[in-house]
Amino acid sequence: MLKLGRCVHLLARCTNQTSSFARTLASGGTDITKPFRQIRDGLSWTIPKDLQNSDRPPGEVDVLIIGGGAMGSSIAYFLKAARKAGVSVAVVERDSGYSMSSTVLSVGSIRQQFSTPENIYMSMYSAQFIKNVQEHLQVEGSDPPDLQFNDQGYLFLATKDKEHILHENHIIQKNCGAKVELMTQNQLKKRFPWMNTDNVTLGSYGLENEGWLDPWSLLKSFKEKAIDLGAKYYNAEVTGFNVVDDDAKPIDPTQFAPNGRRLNSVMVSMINSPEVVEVKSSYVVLTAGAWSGQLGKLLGIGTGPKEENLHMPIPVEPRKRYVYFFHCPEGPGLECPLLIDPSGSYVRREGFGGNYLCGKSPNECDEPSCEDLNVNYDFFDTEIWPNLAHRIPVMEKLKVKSAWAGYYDYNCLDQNAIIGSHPAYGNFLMATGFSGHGIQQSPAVGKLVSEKILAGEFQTIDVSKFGFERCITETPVLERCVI
Amino acid sequence: MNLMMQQGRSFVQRTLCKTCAMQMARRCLVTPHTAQVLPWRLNSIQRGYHNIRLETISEVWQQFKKEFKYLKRASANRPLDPKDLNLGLEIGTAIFLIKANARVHFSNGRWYGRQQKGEKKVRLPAEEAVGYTVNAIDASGTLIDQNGFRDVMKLTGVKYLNIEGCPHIDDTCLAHLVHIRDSLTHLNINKCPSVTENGVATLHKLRKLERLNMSDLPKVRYSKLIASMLEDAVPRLRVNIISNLVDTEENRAKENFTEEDLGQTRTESV
Repeated sequence: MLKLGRCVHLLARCTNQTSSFARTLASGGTDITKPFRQIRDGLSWTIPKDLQNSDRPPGEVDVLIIGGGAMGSSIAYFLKAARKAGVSVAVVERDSGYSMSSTVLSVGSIRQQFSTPENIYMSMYSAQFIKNVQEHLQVEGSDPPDLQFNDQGYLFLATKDKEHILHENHIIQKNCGAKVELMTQNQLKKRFPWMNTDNVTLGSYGLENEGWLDPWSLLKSFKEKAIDLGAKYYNAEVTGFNVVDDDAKPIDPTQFAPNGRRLNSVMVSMINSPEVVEVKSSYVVLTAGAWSGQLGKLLGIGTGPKEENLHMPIPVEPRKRYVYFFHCPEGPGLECPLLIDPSGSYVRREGFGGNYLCGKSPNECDEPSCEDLNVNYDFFDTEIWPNLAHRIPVMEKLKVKSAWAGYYDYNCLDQNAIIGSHPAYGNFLMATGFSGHGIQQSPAVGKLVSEKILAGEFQTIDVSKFGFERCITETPVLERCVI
Repeated sequence: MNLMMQQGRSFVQRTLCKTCAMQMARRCLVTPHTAQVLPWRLNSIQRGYHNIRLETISEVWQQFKKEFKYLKRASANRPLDPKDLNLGLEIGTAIFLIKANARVHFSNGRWYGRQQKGEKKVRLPAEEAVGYTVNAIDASGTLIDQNGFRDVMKLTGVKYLNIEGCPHIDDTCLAHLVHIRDSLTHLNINKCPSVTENGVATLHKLRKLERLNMSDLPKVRYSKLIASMLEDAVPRLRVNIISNLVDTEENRAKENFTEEDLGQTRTESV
């Protein structure tokens, strides 16, 4: 009797729990993936239900990613895609509108023409990812992501004295499998009749997997897919770190082995509120872009003793770069690649209405101040327009429609990425310092950092050359084509 | 949950299935002083294994159809068989194309493949075609996507390519065409639903292109503007593009090139 009563009770509870689900199914064409989504969220069985959807980060999380730009979202996506419910990922981003983020203000270009093989491999992986983005980043029930990838190619031009650099780079790129071709002056004149090839002796033209895309849609696709897979984004700011050195032992700093000290938790302060939450995490990944140097100082990187490898700060600082949008009705048209002049100015087509984007990296001594994102239009008139008009004579007549400024997360040492863990802290990873080529490496960096966390080593591409150790020993890995 | 623990009642706890990690219910007992979960009266479902869910027949059928479509597409784009490649790259790729329901024209003057649309697939008589190169490919209506296309682009000497109406040909495939830019003269991409204007804009790299058909591309915006820009960029190019207003069968037959045109141009060049 009693058992029967309990069975009936159980059945009633089961049907109550499942009946609403069955009812939604019976109505046809509905969200049968909702239960699957619930279990993808690794946090749903550690924190109580009424706190799950709050804006406050939880007390414990597996991986905390500082900075929610293209890099942070890409790492969150790859971590969740590899281990659906097994890893809980929290991304902390203080700027929910992404108004100062390098990602959305970038020109969004991708190229394989580097001189370091690791850079070339990372760009090739990212190009492959972007071409197959429908399979990777489509969220069920929404439109497929459209990145507007224009496969037009880069064209690097070189004068007589810099020709050998282009030749050497070309050999490295061909060995890595990039599709690039060299063009002589006559070939350039025939192929691009609108170009003035007076002092240019060699050009390097990318045939495939090079061009430009829309960085805002890339960021949005990564973020939405990561949230769909269970990562959580919090609008907050990191203001402190807590370190545990119970197991710390003195080590030889030149060996770069971790000495047992670990990051225990991160102090996350909510926006517009005096509340500060302490979030314990196993791994902390720093992808804060131009502000990574500042955040490193909070952790003591740069102000610590030399014996613990804490004397060298993270050499990443913001540098302001301008992008100008102009209209030139008689311009090159469809075949305009992303043209890079020997003087450093670049120009590319935008849309089909005769509009173009251009910019240039200023000299070291003329760096503009990074207090705000105001644009200096005189820079265009004095530095960029003369070069453009010399290279493309029809561009003497143009009209600047608008301009904006964005920050490079500039690596002062060698303008290449810093990917890997810090020697002093075993669980503190960095992926920053991309100095203008971050967007094109973001899928690859996401994959590599997720492998480093989950498997302990880089499996797809070996980027140990770009570790933080080179910043401590001050041995730069220089790149010979920097824009 | 706390209340239940205090009273020592049995209740249904939500847990995860051990095989597929789906949420499901398990009945168990909690005693107040131990606060541990003890298993109670477990049968196979209650032990935590997958139970059959109530799904409507239409949901199951739609899922099945989606999987079947994906399977057909995957089988059309398998990697080339090494046995076929023993006879040479041209023969191997031709066999791959014929298996995918396309037609291939060799330089010995013969077309191989299905004779009319709707006939069942035929084999390539490899002995006849050894030593000749592939001149023309008619892959209209096939399920080739970017993976299969990449294998096809390893051929050199393809002059005529017809990929009309292929649902999986997209911008990346048009970007892959750069590998046959030295030989391609006729290209037909009518009615490809996945092609956008960014893909068509990469066709300026095909410097030898003489005729291009790009009517009826639903995702390409400003198609006539891009057609005229392409004609400016590529020498000797004529673009055939039908506007929506004048869309009759006879106009299409007059404007689009066919294999008879191919025959004429070949004799002219010879």
